[in-house]
Amino acid sequence: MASSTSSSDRSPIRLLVRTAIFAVPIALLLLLAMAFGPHASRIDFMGGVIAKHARLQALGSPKVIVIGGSNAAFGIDSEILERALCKPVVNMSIHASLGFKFMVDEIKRSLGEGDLVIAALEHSAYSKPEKDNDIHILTVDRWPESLDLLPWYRRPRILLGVMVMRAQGAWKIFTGACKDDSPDPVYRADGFNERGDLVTHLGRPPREPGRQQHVDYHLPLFGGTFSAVAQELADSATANHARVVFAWPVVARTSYRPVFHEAIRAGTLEQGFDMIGVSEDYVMPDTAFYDTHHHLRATGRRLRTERLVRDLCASGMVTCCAASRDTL
Amino acid sequence: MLFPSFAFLVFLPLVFLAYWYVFGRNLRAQNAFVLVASYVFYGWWDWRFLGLLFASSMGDMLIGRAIESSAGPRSRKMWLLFSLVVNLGLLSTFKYFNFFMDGLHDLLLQVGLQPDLPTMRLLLPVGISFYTFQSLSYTIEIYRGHLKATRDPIAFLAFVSFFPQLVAGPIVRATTLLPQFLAPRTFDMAAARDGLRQMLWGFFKKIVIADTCAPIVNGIFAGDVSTTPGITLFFGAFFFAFQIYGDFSGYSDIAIGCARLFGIQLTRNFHYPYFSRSISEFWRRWHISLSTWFRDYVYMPLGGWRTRWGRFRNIMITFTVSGFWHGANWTFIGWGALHGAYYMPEVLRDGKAERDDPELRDLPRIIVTFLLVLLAWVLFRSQSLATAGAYLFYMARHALLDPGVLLLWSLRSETAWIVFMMVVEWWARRNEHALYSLPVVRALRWSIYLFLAVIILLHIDMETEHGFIYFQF
Repeated sequence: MASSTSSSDRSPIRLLVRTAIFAVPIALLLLLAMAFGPHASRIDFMGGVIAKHARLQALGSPKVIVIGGSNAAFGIDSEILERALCKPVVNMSIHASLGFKFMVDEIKRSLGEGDLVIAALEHSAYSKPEKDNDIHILTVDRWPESLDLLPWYRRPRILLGVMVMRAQGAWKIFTGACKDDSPDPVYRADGFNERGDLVTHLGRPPREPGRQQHVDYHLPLFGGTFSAVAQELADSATANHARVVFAWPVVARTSYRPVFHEAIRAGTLEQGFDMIGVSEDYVMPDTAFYDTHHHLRATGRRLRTERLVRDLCASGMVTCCAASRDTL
Repeated sequence: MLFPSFAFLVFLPLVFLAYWYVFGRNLRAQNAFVLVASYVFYGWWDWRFLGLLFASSMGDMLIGRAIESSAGPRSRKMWLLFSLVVNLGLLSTFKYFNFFMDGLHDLLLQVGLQPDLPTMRLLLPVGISFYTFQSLSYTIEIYRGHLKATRDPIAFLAFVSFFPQLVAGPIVRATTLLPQFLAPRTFDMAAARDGLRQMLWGFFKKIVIADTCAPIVNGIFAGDVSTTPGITLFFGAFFFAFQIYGDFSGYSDIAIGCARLFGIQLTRNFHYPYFSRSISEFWRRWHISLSTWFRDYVYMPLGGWRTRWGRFRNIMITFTVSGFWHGANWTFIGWGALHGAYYMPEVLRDGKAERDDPELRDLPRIIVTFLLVLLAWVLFRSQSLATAGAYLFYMARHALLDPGVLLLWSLRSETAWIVFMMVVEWWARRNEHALYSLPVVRALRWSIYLFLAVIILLHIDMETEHGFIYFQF
């Protein structure tokens, strides 16, 4: 070996110090990337959370808050909901990979008297309510305040992830590799309307069937801390005189598995929550979807929201406007 | 816990400090700490299999003592047989049960029966093939009289579960590793520094080579081979050859380097296998710990290897079993058998093994050997023998009729890093690992480390977690 060591040089701490010294320039590079680098991804979709939170903070009570993954971002027309419930709506939904726990932490401090929370969660939220993935990195990258919504022990890794991805972004610009990944026309931060619904996909044709992403069902269907997180949401709502209802996510016909849906109903009931409506009503033809079997296009979106309004009003858990009751 | 993960970045320095400063004065405490740290490392993935790891290790330790205390050779043999049955039984249950049931099902259907055989939905415990073989080496060596049974359960459990090599090797024999857990260890700065260098190179191979080749390979192997140009199919196999090399030898480098931080010397697992001039040389350089395990515990005990026919038979059996060790699929058996077949000309020729290092003049033989290995990788990577056959068929057919356009330009970055890796390894081919011998000038040395670290950083895939291919074996 070319590099020799004296016999007195036997301290493990010295090795650690040397490694730390070696890490200093790398840490500096990462800090520089954090301060001056481009965003982690050219796709700024997760930046949509900023406007949603601004609306959430701006609205007084009573209000309607929709939480869920992209099924609710793509597939709910909050204007119809607003007219039916006579309350302003904020659709906080954006991506299922944020996890149910994150979604609850996002809204629980903003609940007030008379508020209604509609949780239209994807199946994965029941099996794994706490998620740990790159979507949190992309969210923190666009909205650093969201770091506070994550548990303390995950924050260093997420921050490091932001730094690394920003450094990689800078490298891509430097080498010209970023020319290959152009921003997506649908997945854009400015693609949401004022209530928080995604609208950029509405006029678009569906992707060809082979390129449609199907729904993945994970077993066990109920896992992790779902019960605890759901209870946390219910407790926050009760403390603030608000209500919570669970609604079905919308799925395409070929991705529909009645057994799983029945198991979700049974599981939520067992834990003291009820799903409003019948799951079959939220199953639509594959052609009603844009790129995944959760992402509704315009017609399906309207139909789904109308059915949601119908089920909300019929449930007796929600006060609907006189006009919508008459319509029903 | 994966090596390229934030959890390991925190885990390693904490364990390192506690190992030397908190538990360093007492060997038993140090071993107990290694054991706990290793179980945490393993349990991070799935704690439910810790019981299996513990029971399998304890079983072998007790059997080892029984073999040693047995009076006659007959009872010694019985105990060894018991150890083999228990270990291979566990392996078969978790890894091969459904494979055998499917085979039996097909066989019964062939003879006109309508079988209703049980199947099990079992998760394969990570690393079971590795720690079972490592643990088995203990009872076999005691039986052979090469090793004394230990009375120290903590040291034995630490030997089986030592975290750097627990899940994907190298498979270190009890004769090599166990004594290291029974003797006090002192910190060796030179070895530890070299260990860090080896880890750095391992991370380079894993993150910059293997993880960047993975999406290319997945895309090509998932496509319709009948409409894919021949050159694309060839490069699918080419990039897989480097993906699996970067992945597995990268893991081994990280494991060996990491062990050296704790004063433990693991055996070498890779010796620049793609510079081999023959298939026999390839197997002396690829997954060395497994091939020597099979040589000593399967090939040699089969006997008759002094005759050409005996060698022929033993090689075919050993390679086929070795292929099967990789997984319950005919593709692995086919891969092993193909390598066995590749070996035959050397057996027939009674060729002498190359003991020197390859030189540039050996390039034609190196390329031929690499191409043979590359063809066999198609079997290894495919889902079934039929898809492997189709892949090879269309690769050959389209090479003549529809060669397509060379896709190297669109993959220039990946190709450039593969070339970089091969150049560095060629330059270092006489050394233990690629960064073993570096310039004496410190600034230059540190610049190389920094360069590699930054390149690794720029290639880390934060969006997809890439496990190691060999974890599934």
